[in-house]
Amino acid sequence: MNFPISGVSVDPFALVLIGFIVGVLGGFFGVGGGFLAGPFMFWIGVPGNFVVGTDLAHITGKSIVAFRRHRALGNVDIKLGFIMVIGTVVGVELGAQIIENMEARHSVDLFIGILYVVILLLVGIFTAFESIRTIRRIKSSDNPEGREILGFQKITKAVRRIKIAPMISFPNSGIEAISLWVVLGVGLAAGLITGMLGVGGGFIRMPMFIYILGVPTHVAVGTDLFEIIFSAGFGTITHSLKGNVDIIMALVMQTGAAVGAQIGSIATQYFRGPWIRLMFSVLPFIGVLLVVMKLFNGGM
Amino acid sequence: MESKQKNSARRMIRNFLIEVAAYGALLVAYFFFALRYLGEPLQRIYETDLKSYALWGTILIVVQAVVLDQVVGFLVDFFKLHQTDG
Repeated sequence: MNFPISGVSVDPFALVLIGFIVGVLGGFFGVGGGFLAGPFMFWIGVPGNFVVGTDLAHITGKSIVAFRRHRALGNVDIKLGFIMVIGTVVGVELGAQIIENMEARHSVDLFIGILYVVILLLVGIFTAFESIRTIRRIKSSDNPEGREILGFQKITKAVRRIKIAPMISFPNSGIEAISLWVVLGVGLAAGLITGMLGVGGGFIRMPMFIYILGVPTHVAVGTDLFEIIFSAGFGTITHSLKGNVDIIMALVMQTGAAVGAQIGSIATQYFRGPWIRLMFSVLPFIGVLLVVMKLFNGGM
Repeated sequence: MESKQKNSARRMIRNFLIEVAAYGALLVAYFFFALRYLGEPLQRIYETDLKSYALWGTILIVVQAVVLDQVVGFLVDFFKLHQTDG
């Protein structure tokens, strides 16, 4: 199938399949999935300058579908999502500025690559460690229903002790009182990492929701998707203005992603929080593998 | 109890298949529609005015997401295929 905007012929079913896989991951884990879709798109022949923008466009659509499904399941905290968006936007801009300043002086590709690998490894190892610990605790305790518990709550408890006004509550996330500045700060930190690394940041924000703010896993997934709509949507517009988005290709990918997002979202009902976190912990390692390959090959 | 679980699983699989079939039909129709009616005008906008292209592109992505979601939601309601009790 010929795509006139990018001027290439690409198998539409391969695009649908990529969309589907990324859609399932997005619906289930609340991540954009760009780290996986990007290399695949490049691999099937999408031109490099169209990969990121087109990927962001289909992620926006997929996140809307998954968000609507999660909202129907009661897994979205809109208030928390909006506040996080504010912090994230500021953080992304700051991160991008830092990188721009560094680039003016040195080549930062290697630095960014190493930083990315370190952060992903930390997230992956910590999430795996915590979720395995929690699953063991559930199995050995009188908590057969496996209600939402965390194997590591020190950060959440420390954060809740910060009482800088204004204090706000997030009933949908079960948070009675937390400083607004803490939530904005977490959004800012996630945005800063996103802006510096140039990635969507779902797999950084999701653990932050859970381990820092103490948001239940299912709500973290849904709320993260809500935030991705804005971040990926913003990215789609900026890349479109530069002529780097093939909308038709994105629409075709979205047909597969929409099915995947629905399946992924519904599947969260059948898994408890710790199991979702354990499966999630694999994603950062895939990300590490892709970055290491990129660093060594110097390619996509 | 066991038969209830079996029924629930069977209903869940049926729902998935209906959703996938509905999307599959939409997908095939969409390939033709998108290329025939959207390809040319979008390419023209892309070549002449990137601001309009960014606007229309974003609108199309959002509208398609909502429409796809609502169509399948409607089908699931129409056939009384709710299965979120699992």
